[in-house]
Amino acid sequence: MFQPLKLIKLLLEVEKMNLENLLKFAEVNGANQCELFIYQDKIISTSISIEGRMRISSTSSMGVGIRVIVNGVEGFSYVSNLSRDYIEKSILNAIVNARRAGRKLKSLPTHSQSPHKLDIYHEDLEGISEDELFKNVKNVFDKASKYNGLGRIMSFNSSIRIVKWSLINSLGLNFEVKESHASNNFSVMALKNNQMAIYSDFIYDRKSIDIDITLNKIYESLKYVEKCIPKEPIESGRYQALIGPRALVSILSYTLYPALTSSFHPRILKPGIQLGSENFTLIEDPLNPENPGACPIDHEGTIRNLKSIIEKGTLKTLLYDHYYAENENTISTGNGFRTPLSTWPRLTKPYQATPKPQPRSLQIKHGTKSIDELINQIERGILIEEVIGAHGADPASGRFTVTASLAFKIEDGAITKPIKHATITGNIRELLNLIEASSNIKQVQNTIAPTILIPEINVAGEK
Amino acid sequence: MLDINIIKYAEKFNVDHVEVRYQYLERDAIILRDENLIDFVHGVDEGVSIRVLIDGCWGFAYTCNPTKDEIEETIKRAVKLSRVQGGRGIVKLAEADIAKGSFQFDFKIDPRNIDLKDKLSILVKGVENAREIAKENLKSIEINYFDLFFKTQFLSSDGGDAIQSGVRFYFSFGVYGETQNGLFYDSERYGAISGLEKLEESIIDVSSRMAKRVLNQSKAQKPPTGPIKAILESRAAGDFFHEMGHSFEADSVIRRTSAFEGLKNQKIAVENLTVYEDPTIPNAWGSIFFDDEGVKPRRIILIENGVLKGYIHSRETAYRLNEAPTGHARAESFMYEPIVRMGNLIVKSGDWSEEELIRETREGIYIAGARGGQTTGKGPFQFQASEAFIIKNGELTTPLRSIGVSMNILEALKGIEAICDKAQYYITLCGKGDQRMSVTAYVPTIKIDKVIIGG
Repeated sequence: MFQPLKLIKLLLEVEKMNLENLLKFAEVNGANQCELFIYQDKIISTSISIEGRMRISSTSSMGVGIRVIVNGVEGFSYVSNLSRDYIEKSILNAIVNARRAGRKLKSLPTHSQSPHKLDIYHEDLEGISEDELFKNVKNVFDKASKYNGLGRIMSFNSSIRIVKWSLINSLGLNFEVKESHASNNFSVMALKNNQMAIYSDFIYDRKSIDIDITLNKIYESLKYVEKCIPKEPIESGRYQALIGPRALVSILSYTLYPALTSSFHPRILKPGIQLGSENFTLIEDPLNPENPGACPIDHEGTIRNLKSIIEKGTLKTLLYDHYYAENENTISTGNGFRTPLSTWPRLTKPYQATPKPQPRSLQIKHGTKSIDELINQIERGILIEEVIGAHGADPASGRFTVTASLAFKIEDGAITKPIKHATITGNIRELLNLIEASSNIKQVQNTIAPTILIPEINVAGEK
Repeated sequence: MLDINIIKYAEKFNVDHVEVRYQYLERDAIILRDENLIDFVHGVDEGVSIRVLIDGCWGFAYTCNPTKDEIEETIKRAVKLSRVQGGRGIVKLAEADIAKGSFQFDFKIDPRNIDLKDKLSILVKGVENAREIAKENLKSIEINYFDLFFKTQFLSSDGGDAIQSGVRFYFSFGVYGETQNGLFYDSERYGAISGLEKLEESIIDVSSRMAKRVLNQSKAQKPPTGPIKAILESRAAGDFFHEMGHSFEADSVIRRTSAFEGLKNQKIAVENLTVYEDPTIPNAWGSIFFDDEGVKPRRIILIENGVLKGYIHSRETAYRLNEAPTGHARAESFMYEPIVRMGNLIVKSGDWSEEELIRETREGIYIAGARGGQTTGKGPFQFQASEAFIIKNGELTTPLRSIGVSMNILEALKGIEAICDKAQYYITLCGKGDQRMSVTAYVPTIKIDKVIIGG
């Protein structure tokens, strides 16, 4: 059985420590203020791939991120060994780091209001064993492998992640959060005449993993991928375009999203500017449990609320954590999340980092027409479902060039053939100036997004 | 470090094979924006991973708390995870030359002995150098830097007993420049298995190149769109060959996503193209003394005079394809299982000089620098070229804005028209699955009959 997790606090008590005493230890040793971010996760993951390889892992990690302020300078350290000696040494390291060099910070966040109650933790998920998860995965994979068509299931992965974290600081802030996440990810492929189409999708839930829903989605995808094998080159030119949620979020993640954060420098966006058409509205909804990024507080204890980031094309706010808010004499928008600095091998756990402003649980407002109705409106165009290469985009200018790995020609109001090799170039403003969005929406990474119809985009083809 | 008796403990559970990897990682990570420190982390992480093979099924587990009790618990967990799969799995391992002994990459200045302020002062020299060259065209600079001391111990039930250690540093140098059309961003990376004796030289070199790019971009024009003849400067060619290189990875061949599936011993490229994989080059960014299955790597010929000669392997893929292991099973850290990865991909130099190649080109495009490559294997691949120029009548003329370049692997290999005599390292941390890996491509400048430009 998947053993219930022990809270780190219990472990600390075994070590005869309590968190208030650790804060006092920091203050006695020279910190003006101290914050402890205490984190624990347990992940079980199992997968099977087309070559018959099975993989199953069960991991758990825990650690403490320590942030101090010493004479108006921030210092940080983390530790994954939770014995008393190690934690106290790490507190002293944070104090030393603040004295060596650090960002100027006057104060840690203070307590303001109570967070919303949110249904983001379900104990049932903790009861699922490795055996049970593996049997489910094998069952689904075996059934999907019997699909009688050109489509083949390439890989199927199922994982459960339980996360518990607490935050306490010298100014009286004290929160505890529990999250449960379950996801099923799969890839299907179709191969004909050495031309290949690959399609991937996922199902997310916080309560349980539904085998039947997953299997139905895989069958749908197997049928779909058969129709995606690239056939025809496309002539270079400008085309009216439908951009699917996966392609859209992929491009936004490397263009618009970095520029929306208050840490982006030089600052290119200011509240009040018109970024797109009246049909583009982007909200952050941290209170929708269906979104994997939903959480009532951020990683430094700021209360999160529903907010408009871009409303009818106009930028309403940038995204702030406590540090950038203090610098600009404003208040945090509750976007202080801990993603470790880019190193290699990577640091991967939130306790290994200080908070930085980041977008989470976004939603692009959908329209009223179905995707088919939007396709009917197009005389000569392109439907771009998936792209590669978006991570080479330029967030300063908003320019991007991507290659469509899944795209279709649209002729006379209908999808005709899958396209072989189309390179798409544009500026993010071209996407935000959309004519309209579809009523169909899809969760992609941190965003719930529709398919959007845009007036024109530059396509480079083999002809 | 671990005692070899840990293997004997694991063997009590009737495993067919067991591997134990211990890793110690100590690092400084810095973000510098212009002259200001934006973020700094000093971290020490260690852990042990256990991989057991029982009746054809792997079991993998790790712990970040490498005490004797915890390691024994982790072994039990790995055994349990293998047994959960019910046996009769397909995994078998090819015989391999397993490493024994202690190996160390050479270095002079250990980053652990250098104070943060001294590191910052070297990085600031790069900022000042770039500003001196690019002047007011340069609006902001962001350097993401880290250094790392690493030590890995490998033990296995088939005699593996080896340690490798060293230091490495890496930085990306990002610039925000200004043109008449507004701001733009560009970046370049540098990494080395080296002490900090090479840091100042490399930061000055990269910052100079980035500053010159900023100057060129201030005059850059919109590029053309569609298919065009191109010269890929060595680093851009490096990105091209790196993306192509994923198709040599035997797991993608078995999975049928490789562009080279079923083409062994067939002509897949022009006659004068020869490609190697070699993780044994001293201190190269993608080098290792042994891989994460304990296998000693060797130099492999992948393409010889245009003919596909081989793939790169883990022990598992080598058994599946009835070939010899090549020492290319690599894991990002103890937290991951090894998968098939490149190390240093090398393209044999030709006899053209780059100047001759440009002089002989009537019309085309010169593409330099690269970032953001991605491939779908059998389908197209693409990368972003930081710098490009129109070639007209044998000369580089108009500088172009950053462009996206895409190609189809097999078509591109048959379209190589010339290979130059000098190569440079393309250095990256490449993503595959959920892991990133230190890899290089050492490739000369090449001329190719057609690439697709997204302008």
